[in-house]
Amino acid sequence: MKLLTRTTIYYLLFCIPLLMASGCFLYFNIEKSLRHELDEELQFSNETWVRHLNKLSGEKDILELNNPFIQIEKTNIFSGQQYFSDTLLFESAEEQKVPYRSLTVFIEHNKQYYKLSFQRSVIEQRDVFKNLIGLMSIVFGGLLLLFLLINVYINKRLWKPFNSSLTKITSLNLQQLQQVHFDTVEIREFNALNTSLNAMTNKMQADYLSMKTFTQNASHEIQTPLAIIQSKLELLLQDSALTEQQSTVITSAFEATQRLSKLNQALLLITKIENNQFTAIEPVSIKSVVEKYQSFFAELLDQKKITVSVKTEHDWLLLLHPMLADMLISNLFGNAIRYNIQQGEICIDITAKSLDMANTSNLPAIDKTQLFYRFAKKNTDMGNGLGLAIVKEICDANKIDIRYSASDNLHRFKLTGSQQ
Amino acid sequence: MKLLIIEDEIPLRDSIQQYMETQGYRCETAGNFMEAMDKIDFYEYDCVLVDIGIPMGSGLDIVKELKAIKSKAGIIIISARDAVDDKISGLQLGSDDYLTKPFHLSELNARIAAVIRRRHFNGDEKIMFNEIEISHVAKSVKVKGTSVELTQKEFDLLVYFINNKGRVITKSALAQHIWGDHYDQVVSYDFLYTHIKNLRKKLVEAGAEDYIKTIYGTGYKFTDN
Repeated sequence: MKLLTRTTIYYLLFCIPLLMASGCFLYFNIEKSLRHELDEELQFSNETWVRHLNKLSGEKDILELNNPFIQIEKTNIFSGQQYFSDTLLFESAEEQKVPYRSLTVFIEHNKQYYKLSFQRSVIEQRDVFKNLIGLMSIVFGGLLLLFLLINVYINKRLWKPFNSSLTKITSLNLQQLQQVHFDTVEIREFNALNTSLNAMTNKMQADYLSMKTFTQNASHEIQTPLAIIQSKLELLLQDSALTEQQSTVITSAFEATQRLSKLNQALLLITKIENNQFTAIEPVSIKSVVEKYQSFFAELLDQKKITVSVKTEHDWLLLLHPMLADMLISNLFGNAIRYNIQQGEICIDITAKSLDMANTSNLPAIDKTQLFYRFAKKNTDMGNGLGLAIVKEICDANKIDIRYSASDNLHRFKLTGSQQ
Repeated sequence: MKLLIIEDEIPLRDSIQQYMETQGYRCETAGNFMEAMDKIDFYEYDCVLVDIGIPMGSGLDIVKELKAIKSKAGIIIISARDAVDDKISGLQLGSDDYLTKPFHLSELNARIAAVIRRRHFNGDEKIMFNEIEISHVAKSVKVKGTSVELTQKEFDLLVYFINNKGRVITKSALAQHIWGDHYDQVVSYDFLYTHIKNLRKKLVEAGAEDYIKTIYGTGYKFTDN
């Protein structure tokens, strides 16, 4: 639910009791003043009538004055009091009893007591109530409409800086941080938000850059001594006075530095992928990458007499850095050959959005919890144990779903793209 | 042939110098940016090896300077950074090759030879080694004037051997040269043995001497004594 919708609902909910209270207040006030007016009017007509009666002489004359608004009757009781009362009288026009207000006074005229009653119809409470409800509804409707209009306006104007900041945050990309700037705006709160966002993105960018620099420096710092060791060993090997045994020792050390260097490079590569330091510029054709490695691995395939069948209904054009694409396919393909059997098979199926690579193998299925775990290899003479970890990192960083399954001595990796 | 080695790590610089001098190059060295700039402004080199991370400046600026003064020297960047960015910017600036540390000295030597050949002989230099004659343009090999049919990998191996003649070359250096960065996928050196065996056989059958000596456990040496 949008924030504005929610606030509008709250405003309206709070309006309801307010309108009800003001309605009640209005109702009682209106009724009170109406009654007051009515009583004053009755009093006034009473006084007028009494003055008029005093001028009359005969009893007959007085009683003749009876009409719907004034009832005059003779009485023996005399009470100097006058009193107001409410009563219901039948009204033919409305065909029902309607409320009346009456004033009763007693007068003495020619030694005879008379009781005079004046009546006025009261505006019905029900009518007042109905009118008020109607009025309140109109007010409520008006408020609703007004709120909606204000909402549209606020959304367009007031919340504009907020919405634009929001759009920027949602599309935030670590590599393009330096391009993100949250502008200064007039609203203080939004300004505070934008200032903090600027500070935050700057901090993030600084951290990102320092991490990136660290990664590169770490590589530099480790690779340089390795380069020195390796070059010295290579020079040492040139010594013609070396015995066979000495040469073998040096070669072992030499091979170990090579492994160390490869390992270092692979770990740095994983960090770089995690840091999203590889930005894809254009889609790569997975089909052509597969074909490239099929010919690259031709000798290996020949040696094990492995049959490769590639099925491509559609090429998979995947937005991926070409280097990562190479690494992804070479690792999977390399594994499919490495763990294959003599005269085995590799089946590759490429569709517009997926790659399926299955290979025969007599090795047990890989434990799924260990599958993409770094250094999870069991067999020491095969690879550095980082191949699948790299594959997994590449997939994660590029929104590719990777699944592994094994059945009937057939190991299968399926990559499915979820890019737009 | 004259080389300039711009590298601040003295032990590494010494290794390169020592190896290249035995290959018949005259080497000069520079340990920092200023020294390197002075040398490239005053002397002519056939090939300049540039480390990107050097004191007082960047190796990339040296590449720029070499381009600015229209130097005829071939340029090879040697860097510990394998960052793709570095590679691209280095090559865009006009360096001829890029080698990531650590590297095999034999590989560096082969790259230098290739760069110099492209720069100075328009790639049309014929390499001679006794009775063996190699033409890069035709990708052909002749022994005593008779053509020998070699596969691409055998050809590459032979060129590599001749460029590093008289030196002990490790198996891993050969494998990396032939299969590139993915050489570790090759798993074993069996393939290397096969290619070298075939190369030897073809050369010997064509009447050449067997110059490829196996150094047990280590690798090979291409030598005529």
